[in-house]
Amino acid sequence: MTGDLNGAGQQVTEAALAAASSTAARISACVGSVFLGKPDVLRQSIIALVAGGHVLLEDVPGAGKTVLARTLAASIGGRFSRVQFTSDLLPSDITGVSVYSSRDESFVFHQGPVFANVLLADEINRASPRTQSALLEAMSEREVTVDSKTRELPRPFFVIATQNPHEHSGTYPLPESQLDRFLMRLSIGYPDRESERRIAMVQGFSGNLGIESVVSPDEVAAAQQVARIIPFPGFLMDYLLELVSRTRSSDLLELGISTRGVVSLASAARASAVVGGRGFCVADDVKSLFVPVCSHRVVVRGHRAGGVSTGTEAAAILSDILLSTPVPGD
Amino acid sequence: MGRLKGFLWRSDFFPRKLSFSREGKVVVLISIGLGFAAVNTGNNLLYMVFGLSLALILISGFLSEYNIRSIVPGRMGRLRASAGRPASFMLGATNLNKRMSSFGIEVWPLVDGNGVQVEPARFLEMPPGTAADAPGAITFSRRGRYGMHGVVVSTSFPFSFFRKSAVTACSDTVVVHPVVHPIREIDLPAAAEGEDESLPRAGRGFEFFGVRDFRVGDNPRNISHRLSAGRTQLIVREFEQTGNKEVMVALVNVDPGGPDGLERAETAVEIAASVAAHLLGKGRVVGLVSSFDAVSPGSGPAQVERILDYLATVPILELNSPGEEMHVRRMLASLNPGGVVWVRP
Amino acid sequence: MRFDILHRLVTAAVVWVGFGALFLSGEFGLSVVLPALAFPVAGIFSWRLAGRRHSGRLAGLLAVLGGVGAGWMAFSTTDYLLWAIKFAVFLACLKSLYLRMAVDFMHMYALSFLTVMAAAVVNPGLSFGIVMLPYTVLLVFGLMLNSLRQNMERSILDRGRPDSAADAAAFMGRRGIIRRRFVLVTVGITLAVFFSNVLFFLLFPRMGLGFFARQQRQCVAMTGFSEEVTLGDFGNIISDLDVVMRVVPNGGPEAGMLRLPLRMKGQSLDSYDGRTWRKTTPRRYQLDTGEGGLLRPRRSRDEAPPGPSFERDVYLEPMPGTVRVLFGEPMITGFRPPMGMLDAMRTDKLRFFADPAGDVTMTGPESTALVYTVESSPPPSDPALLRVAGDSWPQRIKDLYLPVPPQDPGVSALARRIAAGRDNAFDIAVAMENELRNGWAYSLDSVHGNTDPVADFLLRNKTGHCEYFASSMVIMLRVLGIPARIVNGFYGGERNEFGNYVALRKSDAHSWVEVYFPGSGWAVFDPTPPGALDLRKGGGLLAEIRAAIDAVKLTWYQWVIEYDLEKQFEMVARLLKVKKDKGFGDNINRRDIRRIAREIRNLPWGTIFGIPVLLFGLFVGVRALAPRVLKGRGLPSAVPAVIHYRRARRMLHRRGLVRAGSETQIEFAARAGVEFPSVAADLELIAWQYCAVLAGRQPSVPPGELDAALERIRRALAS
Repeated sequence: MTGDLNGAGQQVTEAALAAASSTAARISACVGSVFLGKPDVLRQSIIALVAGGHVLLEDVPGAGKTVLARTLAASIGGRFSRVQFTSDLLPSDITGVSVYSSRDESFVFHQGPVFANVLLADEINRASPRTQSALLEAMSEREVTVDSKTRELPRPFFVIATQNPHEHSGTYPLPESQLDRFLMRLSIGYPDRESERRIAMVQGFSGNLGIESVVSPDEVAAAQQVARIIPFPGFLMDYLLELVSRTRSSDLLELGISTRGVVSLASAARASAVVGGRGFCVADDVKSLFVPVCSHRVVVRGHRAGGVSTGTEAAAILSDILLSTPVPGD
Repeated sequence: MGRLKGFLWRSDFFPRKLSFSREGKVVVLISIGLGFAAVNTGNNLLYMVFGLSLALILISGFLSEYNIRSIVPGRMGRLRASAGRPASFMLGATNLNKRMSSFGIEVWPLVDGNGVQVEPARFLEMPPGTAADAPGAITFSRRGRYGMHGVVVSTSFPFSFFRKSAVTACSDTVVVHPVVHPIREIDLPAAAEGEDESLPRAGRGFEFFGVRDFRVGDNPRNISHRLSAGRTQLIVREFEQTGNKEVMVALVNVDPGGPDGLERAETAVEIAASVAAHLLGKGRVVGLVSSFDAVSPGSGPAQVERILDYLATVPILELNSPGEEMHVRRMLASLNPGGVVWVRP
Repeated sequence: MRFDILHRLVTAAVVWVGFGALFLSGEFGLSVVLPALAFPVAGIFSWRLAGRRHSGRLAGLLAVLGGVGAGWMAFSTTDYLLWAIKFAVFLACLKSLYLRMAVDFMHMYALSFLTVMAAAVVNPGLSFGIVMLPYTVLLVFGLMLNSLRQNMERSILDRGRPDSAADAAAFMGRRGIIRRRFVLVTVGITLAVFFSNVLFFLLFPRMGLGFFARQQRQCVAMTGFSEEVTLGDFGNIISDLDVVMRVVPNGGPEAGMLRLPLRMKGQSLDSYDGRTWRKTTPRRYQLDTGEGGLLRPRRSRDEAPPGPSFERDVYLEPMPGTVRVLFGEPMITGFRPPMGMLDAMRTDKLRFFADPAGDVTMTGPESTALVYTVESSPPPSDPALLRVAGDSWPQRIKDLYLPVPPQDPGVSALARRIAAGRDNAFDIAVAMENELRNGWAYSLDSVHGNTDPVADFLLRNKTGHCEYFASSMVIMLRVLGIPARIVNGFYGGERNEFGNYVALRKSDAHSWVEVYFPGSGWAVFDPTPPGALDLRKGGGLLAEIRAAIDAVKLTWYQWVIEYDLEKQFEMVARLLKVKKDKGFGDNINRRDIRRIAREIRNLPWGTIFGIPVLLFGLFVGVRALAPRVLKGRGLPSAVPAVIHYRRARRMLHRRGLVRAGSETQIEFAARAGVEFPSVAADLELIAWQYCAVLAGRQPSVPPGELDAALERIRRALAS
């Protein structure tokens, strides 16, 4: 039965699996020491990282979006760049630009901030759609084309974008087709009182998080590879497709989950298994990731304009669907 | 049906498996027909012939049981198998019965997976209380790791109507290596032959390479007492690693797409195995990098085994190949090998 | 002997013996038999032919041609069975020329088996039984040799080595493969096959519906039992020693031994035209089964009620004609056909008729052997009673049994002379019987004129056989005004020393006289000199051997051909009686057995067998389809974690904890863990392992650990 989805040659070696889950565990421990009180959000962003996807953090300022992004980047230990999106930001400010060098008598390409392992795109909805799409193209293609020359982005390439859903003036809300490029949309929310107390004590005003890298980018890449070949059993696929078809037939939703959403959810579930140190997926993987992976992929009836919804409505509808869909097995 | 069959083979619920031969099917059909004819006509002579066919079937069942009950199969040794090539094995069997011979015994390992063809070890007659070995062969169509669940003892004695089999359970795996093809020298890029641009490296050769401070673990014979004389530290001579430069086989284990993509990727795995085995056979130090994992360099037969074991289970990734190649390049860069042989699908 | 040669010899013998079973039926002419027997011999050397190029194609062509020819002949003659059998024989002959591999030999055995099946249909004689024994032996031996051959082929030929053919040839030529041990094993297997065959044969319940498939036995050529008998036609069969019927005592007051000579009445004839006796009895009526499957001809009211009855089983050999006379000792009070015949009556294949004369005939398929039980009572014979019977004969008796054609005055004179001084019919009949016995001579060879054979016999020739004696007496009685009739049947018989039965041969055919007495019925008189009949008996060693063979034949008919549910019960009852003196006990009774057998037979067997078969089919179907229909649910329950999970779930269910549909197994375990914190880890372990199995993994912990976890859960939930 094991060989149904993956041929005999495609089995995950135990060592590779152990290495991958240890990578995830180290990142989790490291970030968790600073980013307190929100273990779910942390776990989900690590799953997104391992699944090779990108994360859209949607929350009010000061909720810890930047802390999460920076500590993640620092723990991976690769190149980290941060771009503050503003309305006058140009695409080349992100991708990089070719500059004529009089010394070499040729154009020399200066890499933009997108050439990083972790990219924090702050307040993405403030930039013009053109700039947004430049970033989004880089996110999905994992390469940048400047002056008709294609340049590979480093690996792993992980984007954490943030936006403030409550600010409407001077923003360009991301269209659904582009929201789709993010594996998950997360919102952090306020931490519990105890955690908040500790955050205040630990961080103080220093701003220095004191994080050192605990994994190498190569290790993250290897974990991503493992996550890609974890078998996804047929009965779980049936469960997943049942969930998806319910979003498509729901009266409350204008637009259900796309096929890309199905693929994303499956790959997120695989990554979740890897993060859990398992060589197999279970229904819990699908169930726990359904809302974060899918809430930005559906359009709630009456919110066609998009972007204005914080996703809480969509999340509530999706949760209802979860509660009404039977899980396979005894 | 395959699932049911698999379950039947593995369950403890039915300790014996019965499969019909073509003759057996005919006999059963004839018996059923005879039974109908006899009941419908009431012809007692048809009942008699019906009785004969039933008796043959019944006795066949009893005797085959008696025939294999006393047979204990031997242990299956380590199987060295390559995909698509019959791997021969010797299997033993012992007849524990003190009085009766067993006839027409076949013994083979029970291995998971499709595309596994087994040529059993056969014993025409096993006299009472004897043990014997017989050769068999098994062919795996694909490389990989296969679960082995037991050894099957089987017989079609006495009438070849049915084949009755019993499984002696065991739990083991068989690693099926990719096929190793013979390689001609001219097929190999220059880098693999050691005439590349890479710098000389220190090793256990004979040509003098340089001197350095003594470290724990160095061979004391290499201490240059002349040079050490004027210093507080011992100085050792280093020798160049002649013709023994490290070679990395870089395998891009990615499905290049297209209808024959997987096949090409599999061929790439075979070529990688062949190159590695060839170089190791020539005494080189060889490692392997894939876009998934790496085997650190080494030499000798153990390294051949290690590389083939790794290649047996290396997955074929369904990704865009240029990206993977980049990844392999980065991994190679960190290892800094003497030479690289690229194998792409 | 070389293995190959031995195997070919045994195979040829199997085919031969199979053919033997078929040909001993006598249905096939020499033109079929001789070539068919020659071909298996050729098979011994057939490997020379089988290897030739195109020989296989030629064989296929011949087979097709033969099939077309046989089909054409079958349709033109409408004798499908015969031509199908001939085609099977042809195929077997053809195949015997192409024996190369084990598969070919297997085909040969299958074809041979087909010929034996055909023989079972066309040859119900003892010869079939005699052939079955060697056939079983040879077939088992042949099959085992073939199995050996197949094993050799698999181990030598299948390896695909270039020299494998030579290897195989060397193997086939090896001697000493068949050692003593192999022969011993074969003998043991043969015995086992034989005895299980016997067991199957005896125990397989005979619920069969058919009866007449076992027809087509060779007929005993027999005239004289039609409704028309011409005097003088009778003598030509009288010295024939073929057995016509066998009579076995069965129950009743005088069960055990039959008294000889035995008289078996066939038909009574009433009208005589001076040369030929005819049956003119009107108002034939169909007999229906009454209570206990008994066919009881009506009795006229002016006859005395029958006395104590006794039963005989009669095994009647096939005779030509579709109308068969059922024989029985006078006076016949009822017939009990076997159950198969009763079934045939229901389907109109078979009818029983009786006439007012009390004779019973059966119409059904031609030339079948018959088995039935006949119930008789002793005929009226008390002289005191018969003397006072008087002469008030009913009119219908007078109408039928008094007319005589004009007679030679000498005959009437003779009759009156004998009757002189006797005032009642009985005394006259006795006197006439004695007169004829003493004054006339018995001879099979005497020739009488065609004009008035009775007068010729009585007045001039004074020698003749039983028909003349009986005819003369009937005519003389009728001349005197006493109703009388001639009766054909068998008289005499030979007790078989080897089985408790009496065999009646053709030579026992006989005619005698019945005289009607008002208030009593028909009494039997036999004017033929008794000593004369003994002349016809053979004797000596030959007779002894004949008797032995006949006994075997009867056993064959009794226990093989006519074996039925009733016999099965009888056998079981006898076994029980032997085993312990309870149960059926000593007063084991055919009637009881028959009753039980009938009751069992009338059970709804279709339902009894149909429902389990249906259920089994359903089970197999569901079992095969389950993994497809119920995705994820078709997990084999034998896998450790699945068992544990399901048991734990059941235990939790009992404590009111049920997994919600949308809850995953792990969430459920966590929720249960909150309820039962002491075993939370165990619950979670089992749920995880179950999920792993669900995802196609093997459980990662040993079953023992799961067992322990389950046990802890059980305890925690119990407390």
